[in-house]
Amino acid sequence: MSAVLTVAEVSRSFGGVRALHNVSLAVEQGAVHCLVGENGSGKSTLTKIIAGVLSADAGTVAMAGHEPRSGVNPGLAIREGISVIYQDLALFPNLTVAENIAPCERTASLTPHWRWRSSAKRAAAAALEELGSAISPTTVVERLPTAERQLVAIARAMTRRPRMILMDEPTAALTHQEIDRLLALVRRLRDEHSMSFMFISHKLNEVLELADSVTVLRNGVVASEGPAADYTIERLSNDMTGRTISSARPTKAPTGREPRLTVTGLCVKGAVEDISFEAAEGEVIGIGGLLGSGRTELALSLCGLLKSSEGSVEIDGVALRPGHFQDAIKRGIAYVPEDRLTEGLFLDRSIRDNAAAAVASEHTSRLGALNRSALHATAEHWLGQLHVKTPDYNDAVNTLSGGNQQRVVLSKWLARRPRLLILNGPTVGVDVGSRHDIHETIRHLAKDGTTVIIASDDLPELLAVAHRVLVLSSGQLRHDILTGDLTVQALWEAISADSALS
Amino acid sequence: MIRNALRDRVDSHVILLVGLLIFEIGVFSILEPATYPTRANFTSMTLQASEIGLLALGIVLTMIVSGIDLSIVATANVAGIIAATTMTAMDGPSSSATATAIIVGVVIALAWGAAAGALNGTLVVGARVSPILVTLGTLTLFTGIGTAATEGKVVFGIDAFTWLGDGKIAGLAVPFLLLVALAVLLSLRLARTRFGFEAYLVGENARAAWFSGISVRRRQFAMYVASGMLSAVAGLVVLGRTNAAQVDFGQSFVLLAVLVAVLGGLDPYGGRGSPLGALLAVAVLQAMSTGLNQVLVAHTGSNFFKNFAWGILLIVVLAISQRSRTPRNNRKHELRDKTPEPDSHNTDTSR
Ligand SMILES: Nc1ncnc2c1ncn2[C@@H]1O[C@H](COP(=O)(O)OP(=O)(O)OP(=O)(O)O)[C@@H](O)[C@H]1O
Ligand SMILES: [Mg+2]
Repeated sequence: MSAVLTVAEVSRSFGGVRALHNVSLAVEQGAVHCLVGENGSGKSTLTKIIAGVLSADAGTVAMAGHEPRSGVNPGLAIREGISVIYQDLALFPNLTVAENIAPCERTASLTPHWRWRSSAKRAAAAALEELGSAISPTTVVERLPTAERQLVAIARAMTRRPRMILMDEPTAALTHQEIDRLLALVRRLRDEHSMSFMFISHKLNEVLELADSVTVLRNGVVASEGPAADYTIERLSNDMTGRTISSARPTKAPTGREPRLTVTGLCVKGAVEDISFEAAEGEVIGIGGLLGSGRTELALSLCGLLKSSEGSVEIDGVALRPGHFQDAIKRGIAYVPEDRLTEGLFLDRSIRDNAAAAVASEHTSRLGALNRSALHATAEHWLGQLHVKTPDYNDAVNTLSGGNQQRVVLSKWLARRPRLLILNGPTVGVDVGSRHDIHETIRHLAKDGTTVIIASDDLPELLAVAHRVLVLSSGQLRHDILTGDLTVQALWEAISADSALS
Repeated sequence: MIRNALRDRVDSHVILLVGLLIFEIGVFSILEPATYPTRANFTSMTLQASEIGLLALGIVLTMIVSGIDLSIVATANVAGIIAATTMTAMDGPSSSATATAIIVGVVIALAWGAAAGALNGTLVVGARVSPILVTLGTLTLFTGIGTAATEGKVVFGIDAFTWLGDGKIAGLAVPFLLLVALAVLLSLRLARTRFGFEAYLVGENARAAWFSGISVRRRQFAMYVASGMLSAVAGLVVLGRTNAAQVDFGQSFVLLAVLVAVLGGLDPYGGRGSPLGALLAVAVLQAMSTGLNQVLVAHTGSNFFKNFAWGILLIVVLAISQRSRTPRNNRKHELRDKTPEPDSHNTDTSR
């Protein structure tokens, strides 16, 4: 075996921030190389340097059979056989799925447009089929939910049949089945076509499942490297964070407290049927279920983002206006959306302004004058609580790494000190260490009396924070399980079993 | 470090404009020492700049929430016509009658501006039509109203009101003082209030703003109303200066006001810029325009180069400022095209 990609002593800084320092690694032909590290450790930066969209300050990148390079030249990297799935996907939101998947062939040939369109459609359908997805090739990308956009980006990289594919957190937004199919496809391409992969993920179990070799980055330097067989989850998280991360369980469920949230007979047309439950002050309730089980819809209808057709949602005994998000916010509900880029962040604005966005009203005098220093203090307090890593809160939020951006979104909502916090995939793309911290924060909030509803695909996450898990399937509430000594396996069986029946 | 700190405090774009202004004044003062650096010339420049400046403020406000108001000049002209008609009708021999006529005329004109802005706001925010289309439509509508009311003829005002156009306070032209006062006031309002803080967020990403519990529509609506009222003020100033109002006055001012706003650091995509930037941009343009005029008329006897030079200036400034902006990620513009449609969120998420 020989190295298909060699990264030699690459360094890169942004202003005063050292993102990478003397990083070297080699990816073997026909192997999967996993890159792990905390948020902001430089994984995406390294990906971009290999892809030629960022330049290295020092050091070089070389594909086998080509000259070492260090500058900006994405076209060259593509010609060398590198295909990239970026963390932020870099799709064209206004084009269709087919046009996104097959744009390159178009520029390369002189096929008439109509014929290209039909062949693009066929190519896209085939590529998506391979991923086991039924997305229509004629859908416009911006109408797709995050998980399906991710699949489109993956299909786009795959159709080119490159020598090597760089995948920056491709599984962050995907569900279990989709992840399984993706991993199977990666293995097949590796084994049958001898394709090489660099795979980035915060889900350490899938890293160990898939990797042939591993590089662990910490603060921009290689903390350790070696064959995957040498690693365990404990060692990976240890090398990444420099501390031992223990798996925690929720603090004891509150007893004898008033119900804060009462849901009675809630229906959402075509998604949720007749759901009733109560959540007490300080209780954390998980919502589990497969894609299409109504999990997301239930979370959305609780905060008025989806209009319920029947039933009621009461906070402290007073019913919310159905389908009225702003009313829900005023009543002390906070909703942390799934899609942080479009729904959570003001990308060009400062980190501080982002964290302050939802609490300006609390620092406003009767005449409307804003007390900026108090506002900033609140924002910084919560940014600090969530350990947002940055040299300066004045920097634009888009200079942060993905996981740190997620923490900014959380800070924004925690700053409101909500009575009911609804989280939708709160640790998507967040590293083990921060995930642990965010879970810790959720447990703390609950202890202080906040009721938390958490819709997540991540079963260990549900077990780590939730006192109870509501399992949905086909829009119906199938189980209401206390998490006490529940195992991931048992929860997974509860979630997947019912869907097999229906 | 020090440079960084400085850059954080003062927008590089403001520095660019101030530099340009000083440069222009210096060059023209050397070229035309007898006519350019004189008190009379500065007064006349400030006077000329005021009308366009007031109109540009309306563009600035709507652009901050990533909209635009192209109906400003039509709104201004109708405001002038309404004020002139009311004042002439109500004016009497006594000074108290004149005062009442002026007050009523001004109030009605401002109310008209607010109503026109409210119409724009309602259509943009409520019916979710693109602001360019809406305000092009209302531009035609308002022009039609003005034409119908005057049959396209000039309406004259009353002499007492000309103070607003050519009066002076402490040697400074009243319209100019009005412009500066409004620009400062609006800048303060945007910088120091919750309204301003949230308006910029709305312009930056209306969807995220809505998800953050900000009343996106109310912020946008308010900007259109303010723009209408500023246009009415501009209309009153024109009425004061010329003592006449006319439906097809200053048609070319619309594009000029847009250019002033953009030159002043506004981003057509929203979320950036301030009224003071636009004020500086007006100054830069006026200093250049007057200077070129004097130089060209003195040396070639014609001034057709003026527009040409303005064009060059705009392109140069935009190129420089746009370049200093690019590192701030372009992703935003991709994403922003998903217009905020809070209510249609329902259909977005139900799979
Ligand atoms: N354009 C930029 N300007 C300034 N700093 C940047 C820029 N891009 C990245 N950084 C900084 O470089 C560091 C590494 O970021 P990078 O995105 O590579 O992290 P990552 O390992 O991919 O994290 P995550 O797991 O959260 O995606 C971070 O501290 C980040 O803030
Ligand atoms: Mg990353």
